Amino acid sequence: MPHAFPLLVTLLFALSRPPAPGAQDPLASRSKGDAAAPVVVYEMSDFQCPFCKRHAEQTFPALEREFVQTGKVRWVFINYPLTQIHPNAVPAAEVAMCAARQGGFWPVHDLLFRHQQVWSPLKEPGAFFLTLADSAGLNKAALTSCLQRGEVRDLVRADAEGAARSGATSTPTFYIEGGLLQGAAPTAVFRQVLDSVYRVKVARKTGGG
Amino acid sequence: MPRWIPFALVGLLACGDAREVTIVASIPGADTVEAPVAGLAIALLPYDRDSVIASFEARAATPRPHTGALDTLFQRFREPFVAYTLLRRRAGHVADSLVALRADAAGDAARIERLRADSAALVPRVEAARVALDRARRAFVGRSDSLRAVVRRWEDSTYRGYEAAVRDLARSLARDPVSDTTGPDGRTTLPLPAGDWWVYARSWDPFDPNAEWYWNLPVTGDTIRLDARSGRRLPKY
Repeated sequence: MPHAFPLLVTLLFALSRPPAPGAQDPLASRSKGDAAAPVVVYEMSDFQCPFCKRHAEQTFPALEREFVQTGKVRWVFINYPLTQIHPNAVPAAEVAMCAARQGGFWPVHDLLFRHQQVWSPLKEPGAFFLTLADSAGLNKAALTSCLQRGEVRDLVRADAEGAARSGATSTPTFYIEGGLLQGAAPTAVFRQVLDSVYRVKVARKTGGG
Repeated sequence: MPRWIPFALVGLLACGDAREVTIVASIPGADTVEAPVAGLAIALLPYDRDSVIASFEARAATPRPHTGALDTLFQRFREPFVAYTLLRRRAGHVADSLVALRADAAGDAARIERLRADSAALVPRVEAARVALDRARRAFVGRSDSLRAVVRRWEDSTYRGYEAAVRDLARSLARDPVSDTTGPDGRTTLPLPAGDWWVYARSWDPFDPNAEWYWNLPVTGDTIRLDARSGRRLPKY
């Protein structure tokens, strides 16, 4: 959907600009890697989506090692809960974003995906989510307060609206430097795309061909 | 005739019957125990990839750039990377144990409390390791990007035409490469038409994000083991 890219670029441009000196990077708590990495990947994901789980558990660890930890890629998580088919996706996103306020987004992200099959069918998953966050060593009282006061509700909603406006229609969808990659593509596909985009960006930066 | 052909043709005179070969892949994990590599892309090639590459390198316009500075940067980066990886893994295990213990109605309360304390104590340690890794990455990235670009420019120029060359080679042998991925147990079995074949695969290295395991082995039996003994750790420029 090429026509969707300008919208996404507009949406993400504001988010991807390096923060002004002294300003807080609004995406830092749910990002991995160097804020100044040559390539930025926005993962639009839903904690209740089985394909997102597959990506998080089977694909991302290798990508993180190869591209994120080496400073080639910055990886940003954008919440895109598909509420019509995943009723627990919003509360899951909220617990992850509340955990992010304590610097615990990624441990909770991992736990949510790892135990997806346990909380997915629950009618009231809140209590289970709290134990997950607590298991990750987070401050339970602060987390409970964040959830009860709905402190991250607007943030999750803004994420989802932005992702929908961008043209993403399913999860996971990845925005990679001007293109949308839809679905839980295998590591080899990401490797090829990220390697090629990284090469171009670095060649430009270093003046090579 | 291109100079790589004689290397690649070595061994083509031998023939055998069509057969199957089982590939078993395992590499040392972060805890040093060899673990199966699931989802590893395996290619059976009807030519010796290393010989083809060597022939391209032999006719390179310039020698391969020195990589000493880059290798040193990789080495320095490794320590904080491994420290962070191990701590994060440990924190994940503790959190998982807690979740499992809590799910068990007869969960041991004292043990839960102990694990909870462990988990809380690990949070600042993981964070400190992450900060150290971020610091190391900042020192690493600027310099490594430009050094990497030099190596990649050389590789792009030296290996230009490689894909077409191996495609022609496979066509001339009337044998297409066979590919598959390993299952959760790190194994896969592939049909192997008659003739000489090489197993080619590369896998990430849990100890070093700037390195990978590389295998290019002749198929000499019905089972080929891709492991630390049969592979080489190569830097990823």
